[in-house]
Amino acid sequence: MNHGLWNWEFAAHVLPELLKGLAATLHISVVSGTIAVALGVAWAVLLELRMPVVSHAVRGLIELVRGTPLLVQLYVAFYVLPMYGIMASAEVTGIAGLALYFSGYMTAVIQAGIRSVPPGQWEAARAIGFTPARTWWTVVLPQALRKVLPPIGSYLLLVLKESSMLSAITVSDLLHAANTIGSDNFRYVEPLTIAALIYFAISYPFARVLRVLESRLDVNR
Amino acid sequence: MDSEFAAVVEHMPFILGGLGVTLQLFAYTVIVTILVAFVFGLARLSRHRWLSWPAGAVVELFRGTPILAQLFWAFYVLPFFGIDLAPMLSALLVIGFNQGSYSSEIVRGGILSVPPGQWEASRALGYRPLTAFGSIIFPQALAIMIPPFTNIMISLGKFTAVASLVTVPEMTSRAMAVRSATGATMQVLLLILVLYFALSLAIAFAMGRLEKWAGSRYGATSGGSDAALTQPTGAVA
Repeated sequence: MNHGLWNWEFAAHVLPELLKGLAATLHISVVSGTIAVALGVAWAVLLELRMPVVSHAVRGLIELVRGTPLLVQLYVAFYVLPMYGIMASAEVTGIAGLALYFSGYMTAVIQAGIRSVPPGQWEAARAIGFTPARTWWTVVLPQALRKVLPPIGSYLLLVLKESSMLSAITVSDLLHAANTIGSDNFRYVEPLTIAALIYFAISYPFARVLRVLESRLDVNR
Repeated sequence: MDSEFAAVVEHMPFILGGLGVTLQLFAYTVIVTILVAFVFGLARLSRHRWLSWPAGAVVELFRGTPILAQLFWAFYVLPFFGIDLAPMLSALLVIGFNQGSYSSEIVRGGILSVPPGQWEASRALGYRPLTAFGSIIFPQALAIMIPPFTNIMISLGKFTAVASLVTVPEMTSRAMAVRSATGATMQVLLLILVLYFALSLAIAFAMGRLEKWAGSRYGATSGGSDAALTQPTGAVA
């Protein structure tokens, strides 16, 4: 099997295993990305409400997750939390860690979106008798999120790429599958190259779409 | 608990030695990142297709795949092609090219954001194109680039941790070694979290000073680093 720089037969042989890993990567990215946006909205609203203790706690949490490596955060979640009786599978732990990490980045973007909503929108909502909660949900947040869709999209793309870090805590994602195949067969060329190409095949078109989206939104501004 | 704390104290010099390796790796990746950012950012602005096209291809390749996939590729696959890099070298090249590719968009955007009137004015004053670029356009672009570069520098400090996965004896890999030898999992992981956080703070502080200096010298035309934080590190051109 170890002949030549590239073995098509071996490549075809390992493809199903890699596609299984891809399924896990996509699942992790979608769930994690969704939670990251939801948490980002929650953090942004809490910060904008300027509640004394809560705002400081949220700000501190965000600084902490943004100021330390994702890999080390994942190790903490994977090795330390079970010592306190918090048991979860590696995949669930990884999804949560990834979501928390990127929620820190989403928050600043979403805050910028919230601040870009004209004050007249708030006043109009109050004038027609909307409660603050209803104003947030139906007036402010939809407009805020639409404005910052392109940067949120770029972060979702980063979620997809950084989800490969979960392979370091034994999660069987695409990169983990490629590494396992490589070490089992003493042949890394095909699995790692195919894995990289798969990431690229998803990431590049997505980035192009985002670029178009961004220029469209720019015109409307 | 107490014996675990003692274990961490006992292994402290070993972990701090890892911090030294981390700082070394950080310094090298800063150099590679800046070189890649300017060479590729400027090449992509070139009118010559033989320059801009390959530069664009390399940048898209590094931006389109995960840094870990690139690192493992450099570590496990390149030797198949007869290129056997030391772990430290493969780590600093991969991290540098990866973040340099993202940063090349900052360089490109920075230069494009200098108002065209500046070019016209320098031509009217009789500057040659190269002189105009070097003494009028570039310094202004540089001031614009610093806030987004702050994010890249902080990312670099954090990304050094992935080098632990290709056997570089930096801080994370040493912490994990102490963890499995002593079982002081929480103590050792919290210790390096604090050290990484301090590194991020130091980088942010240094870049803040640089930003102030460049702002007072070349006139700040950007919204400051807070505005930069709302953009992912160059993920969208």
